[in-house]
Amino acid sequence: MHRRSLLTAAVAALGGSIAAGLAGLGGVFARATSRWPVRTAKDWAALCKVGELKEGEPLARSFSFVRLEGWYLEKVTRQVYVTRDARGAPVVLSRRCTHLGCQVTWKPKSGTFKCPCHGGVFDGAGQVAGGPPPRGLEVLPSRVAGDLVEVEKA
Amino acid sequence: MSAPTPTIRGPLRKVLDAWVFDKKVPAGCGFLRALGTALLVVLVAQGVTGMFLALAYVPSPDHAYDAIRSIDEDYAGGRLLRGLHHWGASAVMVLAFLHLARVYFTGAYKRPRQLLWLVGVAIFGVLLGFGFTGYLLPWDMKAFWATDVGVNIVSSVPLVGRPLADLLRGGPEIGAPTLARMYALHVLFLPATLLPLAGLHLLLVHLLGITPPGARVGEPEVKSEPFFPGHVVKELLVAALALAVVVALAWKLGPPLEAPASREAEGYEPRPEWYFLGLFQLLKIFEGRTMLIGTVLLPGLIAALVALLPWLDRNPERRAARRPVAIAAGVLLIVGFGALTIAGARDPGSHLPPPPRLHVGDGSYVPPPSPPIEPPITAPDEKNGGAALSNDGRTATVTFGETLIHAYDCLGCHTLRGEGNTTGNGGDAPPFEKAAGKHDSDWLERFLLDPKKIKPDIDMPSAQDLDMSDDHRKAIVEWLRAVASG
Repeated sequence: MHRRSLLTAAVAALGGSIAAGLAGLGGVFARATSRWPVRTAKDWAALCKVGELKEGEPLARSFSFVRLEGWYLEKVTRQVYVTRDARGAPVVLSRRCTHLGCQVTWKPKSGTFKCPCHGGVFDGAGQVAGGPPPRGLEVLPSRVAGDLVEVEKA
Repeated sequence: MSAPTPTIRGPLRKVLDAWVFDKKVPAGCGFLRALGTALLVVLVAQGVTGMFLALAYVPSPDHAYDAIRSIDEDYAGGRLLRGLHHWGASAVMVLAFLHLARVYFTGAYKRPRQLLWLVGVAIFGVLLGFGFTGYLLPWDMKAFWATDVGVNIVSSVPLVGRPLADLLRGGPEIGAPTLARMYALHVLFLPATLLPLAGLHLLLVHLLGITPPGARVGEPEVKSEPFFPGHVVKELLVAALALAVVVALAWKLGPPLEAPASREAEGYEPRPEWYFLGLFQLLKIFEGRTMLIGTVLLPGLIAALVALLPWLDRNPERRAARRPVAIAAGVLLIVGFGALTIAGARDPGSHLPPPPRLHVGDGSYVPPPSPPIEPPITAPDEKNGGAALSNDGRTATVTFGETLIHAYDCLGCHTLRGEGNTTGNGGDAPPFEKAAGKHDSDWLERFLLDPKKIKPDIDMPSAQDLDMSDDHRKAIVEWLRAVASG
């Protein structure tokens, strides 16, 4: 009986280590491949001239850049609104609704950004004004270079 | 083991008892009778490593090679995983061969196990299919050319050969459809064939049991030893040993990879995997009109004889000493095929190493120049009046040049076909359509090398700033001139 339990332990140990080894390696790889090495050159894209910005009239703009995602060279295009904050400084807002990612649109009549999917509403500064979004629209890193408003390509 | 209790685990318990805990095997079952299960375990491992590799692989000629390279070099565990899958395939072949040889030399294929043998032979065929379809997938030189030779062998079969080869290739030549098809076969069709066959094989083993060593056909088969745990330990030990060797090979040698597939292969001598080397060598013996003997007739005849063995060999004896003809035939076949394999291995063929991966200024790299597979430039053919097919449009270098434009982010300042930096903040950077101007290649190459040397005021990075190789610079210049001339 002693021999039998020893052999049973051997079966469990052998089978277990083969299974654990495979599962472990697979898990490490699955985790590694869930984080693509995404590479972009750090750069800025011009969106508009500072003088074009007017109070309460966000400008719809887009910018593109090339990034290397693992082995795939992709041209990424991002949609943004350029607006001004209370002190008149340019602000670049992502059009991605913070609820579930649909694209928001500026409605001049109500003076709000509206999401077409689940009724999210944001005010002119991008703060939540109604609906399900948990937080305001994302503010993208931007700068003023000369008379141009530029956004970071990312 | 406690007695089975009628709990909710009842049905499962019943199955486990029947298949494992209460099962008996004949006395004298050693490690040789554990090879089948070891093969099963290695096959399961192949399935697992294959599934994970599929997470990061794309069966398309413009990305397959880069994806494989990325698996090997960019991801934790990737090199080991692909190494395991590659060397695991060899282990599958070794174990399948040893298992088949054991069954042959112990006469275990005889009545009542004829069907079990036949299913096993079919499984062996499916396993060879896995090997063959699997090695096109990395899309390197070896993959491309060894597959080309393999499909051409199929094509040489009278009548059915050509349509069958076209079915495999998805056209008259190896290309993008071939890769998609080989992938589909490898991950869908063949597993879907293997699973029921393996299931039937296991069911038959379970119903018929292991052949008692040395028993004559018709003698009552006595099963006296418990299957669990004694025999299971042997099975798992063989499996673990095989996997340990696979891990060692994967760790030490890694998965092989050559240069990206290309039809320009002057002087390249393709060689198949070692388990196809015997067949490969056979092709060299039968040349010219007798070629069919080596490609189809001899292998086909041997396969048919092996498959029908239980019905051809009516000798009721299982002891080797009483089956001299069968044993001699088996030894002869193994020695013959072994000699062919060794002869094939003596001539190792070519190995084209992968090109270095290139790094752009900010640490990102450009994928190796794999995509441009040109249509073949066929020699003038007398049949079609000497009209040579040439590749119209761009050369590979020009296409590569345009890829590089994106990789070096040239469109951050320049524009191309209205795309790129259209904001006007790119300084004086001209659209690429006008960039070459009237300058010749030589001037353009010097300009790209160091723009400031030629135009001191220009705000454009030099080749050194961009870490741009001479080959890349030349490709870009060739492309610039092609764009300028429309």
